[in-house]
Amino acid sequence: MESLPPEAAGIFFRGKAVEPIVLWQHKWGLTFHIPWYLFLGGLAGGTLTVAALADLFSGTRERLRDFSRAAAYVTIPAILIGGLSLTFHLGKPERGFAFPLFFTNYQSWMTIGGWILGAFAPLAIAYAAAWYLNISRGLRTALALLALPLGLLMSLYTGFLLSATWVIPGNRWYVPLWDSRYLPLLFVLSGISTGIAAAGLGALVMGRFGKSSGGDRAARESQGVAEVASLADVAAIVMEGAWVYVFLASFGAGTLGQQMAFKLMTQGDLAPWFWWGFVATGLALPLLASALHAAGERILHAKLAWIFYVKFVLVLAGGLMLRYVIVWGGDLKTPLIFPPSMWPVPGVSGPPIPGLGG
Amino acid sequence: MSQAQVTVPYRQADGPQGKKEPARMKFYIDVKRCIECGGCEVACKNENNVPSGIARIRVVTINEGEPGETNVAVPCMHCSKAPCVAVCPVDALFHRPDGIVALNKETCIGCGYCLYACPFGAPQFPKGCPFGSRGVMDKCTYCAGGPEVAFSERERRLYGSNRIAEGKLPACASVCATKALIAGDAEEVANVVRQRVAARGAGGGAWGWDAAYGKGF
Amino acid sequence: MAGLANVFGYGAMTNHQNDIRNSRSIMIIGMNPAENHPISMQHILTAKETNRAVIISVDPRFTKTSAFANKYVRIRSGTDVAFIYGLINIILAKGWEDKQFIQERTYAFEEFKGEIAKYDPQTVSDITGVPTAELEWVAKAMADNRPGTVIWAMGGTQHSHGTGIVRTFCHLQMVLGNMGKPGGGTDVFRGHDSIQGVTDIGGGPETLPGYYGIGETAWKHWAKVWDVPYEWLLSRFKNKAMMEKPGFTVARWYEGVLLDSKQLGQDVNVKAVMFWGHSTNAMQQMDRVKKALEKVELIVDVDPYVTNTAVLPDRKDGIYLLPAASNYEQWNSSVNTNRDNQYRQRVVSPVWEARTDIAIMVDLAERFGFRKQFTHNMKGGWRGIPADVKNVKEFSQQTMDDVLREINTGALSIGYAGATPERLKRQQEWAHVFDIKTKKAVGGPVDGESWGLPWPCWTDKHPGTPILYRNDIPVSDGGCGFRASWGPKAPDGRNLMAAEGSAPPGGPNTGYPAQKDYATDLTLGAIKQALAEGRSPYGNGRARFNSWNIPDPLPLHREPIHSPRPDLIVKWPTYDDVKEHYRVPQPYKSMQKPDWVKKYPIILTTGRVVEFEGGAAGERNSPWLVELNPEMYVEMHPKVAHDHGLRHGDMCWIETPEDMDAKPSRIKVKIKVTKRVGPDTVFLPIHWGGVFEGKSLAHKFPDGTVPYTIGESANTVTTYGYDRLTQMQETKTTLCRIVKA
Repeated sequence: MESLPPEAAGIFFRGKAVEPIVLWQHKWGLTFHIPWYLFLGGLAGGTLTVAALADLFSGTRERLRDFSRAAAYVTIPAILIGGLSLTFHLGKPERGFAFPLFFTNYQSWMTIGGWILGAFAPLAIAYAAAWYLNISRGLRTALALLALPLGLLMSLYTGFLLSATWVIPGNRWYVPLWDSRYLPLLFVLSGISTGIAAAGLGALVMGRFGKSSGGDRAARESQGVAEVASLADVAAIVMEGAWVYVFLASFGAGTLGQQMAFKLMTQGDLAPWFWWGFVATGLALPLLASALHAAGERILHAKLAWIFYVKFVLVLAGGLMLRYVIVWGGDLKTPLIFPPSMWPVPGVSGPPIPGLGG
Repeated sequence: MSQAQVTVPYRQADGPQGKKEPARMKFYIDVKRCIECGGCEVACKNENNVPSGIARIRVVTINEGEPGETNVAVPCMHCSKAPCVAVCPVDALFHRPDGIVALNKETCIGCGYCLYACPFGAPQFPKGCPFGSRGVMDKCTYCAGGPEVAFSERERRLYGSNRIAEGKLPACASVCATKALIAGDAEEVANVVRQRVAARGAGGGAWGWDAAYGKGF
Repeated sequence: MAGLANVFGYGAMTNHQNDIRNSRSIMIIGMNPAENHPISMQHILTAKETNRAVIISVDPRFTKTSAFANKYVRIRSGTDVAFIYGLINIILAKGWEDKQFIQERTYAFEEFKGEIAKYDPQTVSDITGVPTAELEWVAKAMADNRPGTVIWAMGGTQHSHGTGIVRTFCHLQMVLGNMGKPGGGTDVFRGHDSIQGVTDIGGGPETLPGYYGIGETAWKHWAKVWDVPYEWLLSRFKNKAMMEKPGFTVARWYEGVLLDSKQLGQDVNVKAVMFWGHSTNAMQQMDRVKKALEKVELIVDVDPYVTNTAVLPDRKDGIYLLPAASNYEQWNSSVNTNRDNQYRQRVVSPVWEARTDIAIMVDLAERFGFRKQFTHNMKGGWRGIPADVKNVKEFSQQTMDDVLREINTGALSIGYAGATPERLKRQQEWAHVFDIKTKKAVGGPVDGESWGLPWPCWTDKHPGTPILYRNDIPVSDGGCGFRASWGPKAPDGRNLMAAEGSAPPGGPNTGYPAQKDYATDLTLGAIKQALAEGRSPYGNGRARFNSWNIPDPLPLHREPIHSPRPDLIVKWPTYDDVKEHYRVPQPYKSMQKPDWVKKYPIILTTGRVVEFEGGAAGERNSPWLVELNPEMYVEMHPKVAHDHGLRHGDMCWIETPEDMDAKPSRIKVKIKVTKRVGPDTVFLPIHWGGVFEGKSLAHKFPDGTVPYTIGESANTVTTYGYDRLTQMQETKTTLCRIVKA
């Protein structure tokens, strides 16, 4: 990984630029458990949140209820696959399953997360079951009221999980990208946008497979859900894009570590993944797709349903790539700068020799 | 938790503090002295029978072969506000009364969270295993064994030797050729640092000190 | 050692490692203590911190030591004489020399000055590649910061004119007046465990223990010590001439096997060779060693490990491995580079089938039929040992003490008499009372003694001599002048005794010759008389700028045999060929070919790394050490690597000239790209063995004894070149070319 020249680091001592050092770098390589878990956990939090929201504010609007149901169903595989991925990355998975017994350090976001996950999964299942079995709306509303904050917490905690790592004196994050002032909100927004996309995609897929049984109604229904999802996602993506801009802008003008992270993401090794993988795939192209769809419908009066598939897949891919970029970027540590005692002091590293200089 | 089992070194009652209290064990790494002989690494492995590929302490060289070449020996620093202790979900990492950050391998779930939290790269995991079967964490014990009966076969197998319970200092610091790596109670270590600062006019070369123990001595 | 002995009188480090704490300037030339003597760095760095000592590192390679130096000077390998003479030239021109010291305590300064005049800074700069400004910086730093010490090791000695190089180091210190002072001196660091002790007890082929030589007087003296008839010793040799003729050295023994017997200094070829704790991969021209090992009738290797020797030759039988005990498995005493004796306790009994060295020796003596004479002085522990010693693994501690007492009795010339086992054991108990800076004991039964009783320790009351040639303290406290080894007058009639007013206090305040018979009077009468009169038993002489009795009386720069500078070969050629030296012919001029550099343009130098030592048969069997340094490599400057189209981690062939064999030697090694070496030099560590010219020898090791790492030996490609006086191998300078593998 490229590091900045000493001058760029801006650390000077007696007029001489001092080179920061990066002591130790853990190489992530091809690890997949963590980014996939962060993606699926955030996504599940997002789907449950939007499902609860849509359900609570649906009133008599059928499309919102359909959307809520699709989102509730999609939550289940997401949280199960994500949770298993998390558990099996452990050195001792069997000890991880017994978390209520073992997780005793309530300072740790992993403990908090363990309990959030422990509450989230049964609730998500209960909520989906309430939809599937079509039991009383009152019970479902009660579940939705619980699900709304828990879904948000779920997405939020995936951000805090990373950013709870050590803070160096001087308020610099040891891993600059994992900054708790930026990362949790980013993961929440990304969780919501990918959650909406997943619900939309889920509805489309379910509608297609449901065609034989439900006939045209199912297809119409899923198309309606997709339209809702697409519209909601535009809002979510715009908010996410705005936050990414804030993230980048403050990092570009931030501390040494933040600047290095900024450079790494925007110009360094991670730049293609960040620009093409996340910004283009996850933000710009979906917006473009929505615009195309709207233009196609208004101007050409054509049914461009396939665009929804493309859009939702792009959003999901972008969300996954964001997690990869953030996790890979964890390789970059804030330089642990040698204390002043390390820096050359005349008379110590070179004795004053008359007429000769240090 | 079997924390009560640890044998803790105490300060003398006639010391500067004037009372008998647990020592506060620290490392002092003098980058003006370290010559990268690797004695600490070998002593550690030999003392604790550490397997190949695991480095409880290692010497890092910067600018090798060029003016400004500097060596730093990096063990676990046993930080005052240890980030690994803060993040460990299962309290497998804990502070002993003497400040040593100890590890309980019986409860560690191998999540690797400490690895991301530690600024010194101290937590070690066996490498090269697919699908998360990388086992539990291993790290520098300050040659103080673990939360087991001192000198038991079980302690030896899980953690290595327990020199602290024998009244000795860690193996790495004991063998250091140039006295670059100093271990001991905070008071005595700080005295060494002060002497060196005084002798040199400036700069104790105490790499990582502020990060591990906060400002000042 | 011979260089030091011919200047000052004793071939040993003059001060001690702890004494470097007193130095104000430290020149480290041809040496890398951070890797080879890590403990000594403690003293060097303390001097840097507390005295603001200037550390000057002179080396073809930016070593780990250079990283701690205030000044690093990159010098072309093998040009040390020119470099030092350049410094002296500047010092004399500026008038920085210690005129009083030179006048009172040295000999032949005028001629020396004449020789120095040839080495003006420009000439030196051309030879060494060091800019004149750097020469001036170093000269001024050494002159302004006195006392200063000069430290060197194999980088100074392993050259075809190594003795000359060593003598110039001494001369620099004489000119600066740094001799015989705390913080000064010529501090050669000796590498192996007890290597000074081995030299002292006659490890070389030219002398009996204690540097008595091998003349008739020497034999008679030791016959008296050993309490055997001189005639019996004589009867063991072919004749008196062969008895007094120096044998083969470790550097070139194999020529005694390979050359035609008519070329040798003896009638027949060498038929058997015995290695006792020595590795063949530490021997130069290993391709020739291999041939010799294939030709001899018998090879015996005494070692705790299976060494390179056992696997190198292509032969089916005739190799015998005797399992020796390590030093932890036997009582012993050793003498380190400081001339310190140290008593060492046994930690465990020899494990498995290993036997202590003395048990193997006694058993051999038994088989040869002279056990009675051999064990004559082993009185204490010998009783009760069965007549048949085949199954004896170790002898008692008492036996080892008896061996040391025999050396105490006999090695009087270098003052071993006082280092008795009783005193050494007492020091071991009282180790905590010795001062780290002066090595003197404070209080206790050892009060006033120096740690290790550094020789000369004249009697069992003498405290030892931690700093040689120090004439500001009485002889009874460890003072002495330069040794008067060459009589009162030089052949040219000039005085060799120290000047009036320059002598250790408490005795005659002038120079004086050695006490008669001090080295041969076993009753110590002569030594005691000298001490009673406040005189140093060996006299009070002068250090010699001109050593008339050896080649190059005044040292001069000579290009290495494999020099990359044809123009300088013309001006500074090597020696004329020597017909016989240590029983083998030793050509010089006929081996120095100016056009080699066209085919072999890069300088090859070798050295040690911190993890391993020597042939590293033991170290390469340690998993922890091997993990730190797992593979043989060549250090190469980025420019050299890139010019050859090679990258870090690639394999390449290193090839060297075909000097004594028809074909060039070659090894296949991995490349480490680093700026440690300059763009004209590559560096090889010497420790690996078990691979020869690209072919693994792993299958030849007995089952289960292959070391954790095997690799090409650097000495497979080191070429011909031996010191004119000591026959030390020239492994530090040769030429090579790099071929992509």
